[in-house]
Amino acid sequence: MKPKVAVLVAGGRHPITDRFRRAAAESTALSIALRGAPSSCVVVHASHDAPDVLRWYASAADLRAVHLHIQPAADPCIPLANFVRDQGMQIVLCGIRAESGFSSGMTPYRIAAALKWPILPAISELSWDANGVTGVQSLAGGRQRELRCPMPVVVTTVARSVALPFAWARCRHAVVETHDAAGGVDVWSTRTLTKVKSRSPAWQNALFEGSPAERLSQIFDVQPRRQEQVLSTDARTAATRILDFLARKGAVEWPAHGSGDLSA
Amino acid sequence: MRKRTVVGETDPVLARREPSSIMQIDDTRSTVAACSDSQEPEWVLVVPDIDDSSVSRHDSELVGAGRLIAGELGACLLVLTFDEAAHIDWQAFGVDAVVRAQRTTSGAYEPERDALLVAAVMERWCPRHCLFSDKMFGMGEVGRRVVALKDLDCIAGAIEIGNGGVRALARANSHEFTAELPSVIFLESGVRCASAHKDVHASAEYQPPQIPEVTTNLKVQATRRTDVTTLPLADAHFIVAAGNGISDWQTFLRVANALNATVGGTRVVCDRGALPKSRQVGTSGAMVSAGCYVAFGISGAPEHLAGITSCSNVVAVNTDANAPLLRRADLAVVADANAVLRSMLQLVERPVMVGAA
Repeated sequence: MKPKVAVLVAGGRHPITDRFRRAAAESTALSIALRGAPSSCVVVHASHDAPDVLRWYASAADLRAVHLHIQPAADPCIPLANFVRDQGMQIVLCGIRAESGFSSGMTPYRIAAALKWPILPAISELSWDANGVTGVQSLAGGRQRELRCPMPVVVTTVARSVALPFAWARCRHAVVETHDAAGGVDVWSTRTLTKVKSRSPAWQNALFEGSPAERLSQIFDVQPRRQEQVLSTDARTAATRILDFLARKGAVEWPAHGSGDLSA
Repeated sequence: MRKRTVVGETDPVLARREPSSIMQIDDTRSTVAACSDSQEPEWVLVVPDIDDSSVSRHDSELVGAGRLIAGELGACLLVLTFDEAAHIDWQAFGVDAVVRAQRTTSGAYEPERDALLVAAVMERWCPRHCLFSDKMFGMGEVGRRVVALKDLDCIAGAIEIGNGGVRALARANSHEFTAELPSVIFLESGVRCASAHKDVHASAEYQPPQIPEVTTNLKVQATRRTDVTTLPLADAHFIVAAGNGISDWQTFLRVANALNATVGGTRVVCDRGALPKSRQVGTSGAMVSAGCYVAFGISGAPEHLAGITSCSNVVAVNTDANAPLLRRADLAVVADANAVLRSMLQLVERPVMVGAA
């Protein structure tokens, strides 16, 4: 019997243009759910505004999409936890950190605390059986850590390259259930977000001037940062200089003398 | 008595302290209410990550930020470390007191137990503010567990601290906000704080409070090392990439293998089929953040340069001295990339050369 899976989603934002899109980590969570339990998967979103964000995710498959309508300054964690408990969910999947809102990464932890469930964080792969879930964390340097956790469980996913099926027509026709939900006051609601100013001028210039390549060059302005240069040298000396450089930066272990004269 | 250097106001509490004295902590004190009534100094708690058993730059920034807040408040700086940091001399970092905790197994992944220990330390010392790294692993994860466990106020993505406030990033770093200092602060890396190395004075050392044996839900089943050369580019720390200037692909792949580096390429070579699409670096491929990025025969199209903006160290080899990537590189080599690769292969395939982890 497949477990009931709730995928908690929020809207994504392009990191530079700030345009609305599906969030990468939430898309990964949804792709994991679709691989394992497409028939028992529910997409859930809690907010006070229109549930357009849900259509983006629900269009990936014929999924049940639920919008929990809360007051503007309400904390979404409690309604989400109540929904998960009431629906008898066994696995909650969500992105490790929202691309919208305050991006604190606290929502999954607060939901897990409210449900008194364990949390399995930063998972890139997930499988489950009757006794629990097995997740894989990708660590630095190509290391992977395989973790086992009993169900029910909250699982957070890191952003991976996933290609969810997407179609505007299905997006328009996706049916979203809306439930009114009550939540406590969100302490974050008293804080006001402002656009980061330092990026604006460069972007304003870049958006209106030059060819696409020139605009991209303006945005990712290549500042001269060359510290070392090897000019008109033979290939062996160049190779030695590169290996010395990499050894200094800790990328490779290279003989201490590092002169490249290894004939001895 | 060495002078304590603190950015901000002079610390009145610490000014009364003898540097060699060990402060006695009342063990019976266990609640926040008791803390406020006592005459003990206020504390600011820092929980550094200590990756690879050494104090990283980010750990140093955390301690610096903690000292800055402690200076403003007239509080003392307390650091909680685990056994992998047992050898670190925290006196040299301007820390007033250290709590050295031990794990059941050295270096074990026990975030649930660590969170209970941090919560116990917070209950005993009642710190006014706690600082963790903003990573989603390590102490960043533990800090989030503690915040959820104790239902504390927190701010993540902090990039500036001072004058009793904090400035933090939000909405995928596109927005920011300011607020008063909360109980728990998750500090981004790269924050400029007071240098942690200029304040050397004696510090006290404490044993951590006892915590009951806990049954952890997370069990580590295996830790394995994957094939680095085929690692997803987004996870790679050392990338060797090829561009249109490469014709000797066998040598290129052998060099990447010998260096234990992840293979990447430009859109041109991936479109041509020389490398799979998953190896493409750039805006239409993978945005990489490797510590070292070595580009062979890549001139540096804007889309490619955009994909490597987060790389710390870039090496570029190209015959064109005016190639944009050579301008971006930390080490620029004007030479034939194929010839350099062949020479490099002769050097790195010797037994004395071992790729670092």
